[in-house]
Amino acid sequence: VTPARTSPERRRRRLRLVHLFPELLNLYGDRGNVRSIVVRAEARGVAVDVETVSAADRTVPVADLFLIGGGQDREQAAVAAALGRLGPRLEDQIGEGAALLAVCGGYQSLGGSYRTSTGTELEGPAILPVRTVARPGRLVGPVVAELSGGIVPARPGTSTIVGFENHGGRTWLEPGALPLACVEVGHGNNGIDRTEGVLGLPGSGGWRGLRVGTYLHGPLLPRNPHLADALIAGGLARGNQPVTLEPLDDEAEWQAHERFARRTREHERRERRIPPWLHRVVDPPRRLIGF
Amino acid sequence: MTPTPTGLRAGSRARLPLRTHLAIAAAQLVRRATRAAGHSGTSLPGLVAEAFDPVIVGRLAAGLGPVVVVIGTNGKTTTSRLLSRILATTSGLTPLANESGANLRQAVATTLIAGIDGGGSGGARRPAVLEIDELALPSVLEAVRPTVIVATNLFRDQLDRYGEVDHVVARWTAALQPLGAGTVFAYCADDPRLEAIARSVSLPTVTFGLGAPARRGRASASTDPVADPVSCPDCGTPLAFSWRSIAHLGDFRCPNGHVVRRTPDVTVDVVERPGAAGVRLSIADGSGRSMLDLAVPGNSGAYDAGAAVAASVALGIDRGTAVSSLEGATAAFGRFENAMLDGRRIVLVLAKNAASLSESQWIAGRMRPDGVLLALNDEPADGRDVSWIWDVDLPDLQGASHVGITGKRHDDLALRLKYERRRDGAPWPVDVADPDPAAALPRLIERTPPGGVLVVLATYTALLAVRAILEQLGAVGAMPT
Repeated sequence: VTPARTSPERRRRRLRLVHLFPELLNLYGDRGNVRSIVVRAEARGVAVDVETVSAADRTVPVADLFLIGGGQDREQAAVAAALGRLGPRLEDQIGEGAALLAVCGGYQSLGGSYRTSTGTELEGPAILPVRTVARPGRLVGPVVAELSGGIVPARPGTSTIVGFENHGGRTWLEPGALPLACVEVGHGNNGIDRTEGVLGLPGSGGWRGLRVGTYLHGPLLPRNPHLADALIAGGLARGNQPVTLEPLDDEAEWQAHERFARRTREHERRERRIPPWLHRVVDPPRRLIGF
Repeated sequence: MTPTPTGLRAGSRARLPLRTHLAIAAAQLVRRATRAAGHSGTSLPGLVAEAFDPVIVGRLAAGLGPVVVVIGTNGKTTTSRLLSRILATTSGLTPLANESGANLRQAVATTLIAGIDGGGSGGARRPAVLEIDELALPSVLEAVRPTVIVATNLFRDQLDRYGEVDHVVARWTAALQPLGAGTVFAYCADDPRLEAIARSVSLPTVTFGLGAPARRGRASASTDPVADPVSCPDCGTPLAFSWRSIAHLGDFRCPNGHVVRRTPDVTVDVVERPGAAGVRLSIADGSGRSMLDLAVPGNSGAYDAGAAVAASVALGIDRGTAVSSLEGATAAFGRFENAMLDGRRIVLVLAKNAASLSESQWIAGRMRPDGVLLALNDEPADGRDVSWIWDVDLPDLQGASHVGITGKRHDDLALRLKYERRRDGAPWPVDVADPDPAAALPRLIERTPPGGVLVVLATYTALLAVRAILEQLGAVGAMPT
């Protein structure tokens, strides 16, 4: 990443980033989201401090931006217990306008509740306006989804986000909650209502208080640089710092984004040509011989 | 379903029911047809055979000598290869073995059918070494009662197919529970997940593990993104480690004293740090120790040798005999396989998940490569989700002056390297980026100086593609079939 030209008054900007429970929620390369934020912020002359919070910690440091990743049911139970203690501290900061990205297991954990595959009801801090119930059969595969209108500035002609989903939980938005995106290919929150993720943006049009919950990993941010920049802006807005971010050379990012979207759509078109009854007949032997 | 003892001998078709004869004939026909169509045809013949005779796997397996089933995320192929060598030496018979990657029950059926005509002499029963897919284990154990089950390790891998690792643990535990004392469970004592399985089934065990790892992981498992979070099966507290070797393997204990790593029955010490060629091991059990120069490098090579020796001990072969049969053993295809081309050495390495890439990049780094080619595909055999590349750093490959990226997901490798600066702050010298390995490989070979080393780290199908190119160039022999 080549540093873009930065005006002197923006050079002093700082971003305090806290990665929540990386020792428990580290399944899907989610540390790539941290790398994306750090590299893209530093390229704009923003100094970034990264801290981690583990389940054994007693406090949550003050932060402008929180990141939380995905994990298994077993680890989510440990996270739920830790959030019982740390949740209020986190909630206060989010209420004060700190930005948040929650992926997969972290997304489920920060909702109002999560019923695991064994029927255990895990209470959540309701930082994100969603509820999740695990059901048999996982929702797995690549996703292309259309971002909710006008909220995150995309590159001209690109209004999508892309990523990989793998979850047994079905997530439902609370009444009035806004989805992050609308599913074009894939399952999204629950495989039924075509919503993907949740988006929180209180306040009057600014970036302050940007909250994103999503099932998409891969990791999410390197291939969706528009979302990464929105989260950096959200973090800067929390500290009342200027949120303007100079454009970077994102050719590689968009190439990866677009190739992923194209391959996913092509695969979907091929699959759709096969009627469902034929799928049931040909899929088992097809898996065996690897076609 | 229980195995049907028929008294069948490998090499004879006597006393088989008519439907089994039909199944065998149909499978052989299908196998010839798929081969003629250019497919390897490893599973389809078995699928057809089972349509004629659903219990054919049990019937044919009953005619074999000892059956060893090899399971685990990494090291199945090398362990099977080493164990087959030991059994060939000690029994005088070539063990029946399935092809690498063809590890579902239907592929086992194909292997057993192919073995009918291949086999045993003088009435001796041919041993079998079958490597089995993580999710196929329950269906295989319904048909076959193995003499030994060897479990190498359990890492996170292909989560798009397996769901959660805990799901695999639960399935294995359920599959092993009904087995009787006639089956020995030989497992890696350094893997707390396998220890948890061993504790909840009541099988006789033989364990193996490292005495001293060739390379130590970071002291704290919680700061190592390659390591899975592992906790005590009784109290759920995160386990403590005094050392770790690969990912979450190591000397573990529950801080509350519930579960402690067992002292391995077979201990492998890496007495000489591995170089390009292999590793010098000291393999010990209660009765003494033997030295072994093994052509399979790294902690991974030490574990695979330990697994093969532990399985042999479980079969009643003494440690000394087992270890001496391993002298001169070579690595399986794509496991640090060497190719020579125009005076350059090309090393082929399978890197299929975070644990394997982390270990492989360290071993490869010790070869001081001039060039590195990373090849990433997302076919079903590779796993469609490639996010694991972000969990591994490549600290040992930073000396390479040329880096290439290829495969269907080379875009993702480009981003991975763009966002990971090297220690010196410089960007990675990516000078070849092409989705087609046939285009990328020659350009990287060109940039490697004569006498230099080019390391190829590739996922399963990408490795097959690279190997096929080298085979055409005459740099490696044909794939084993």
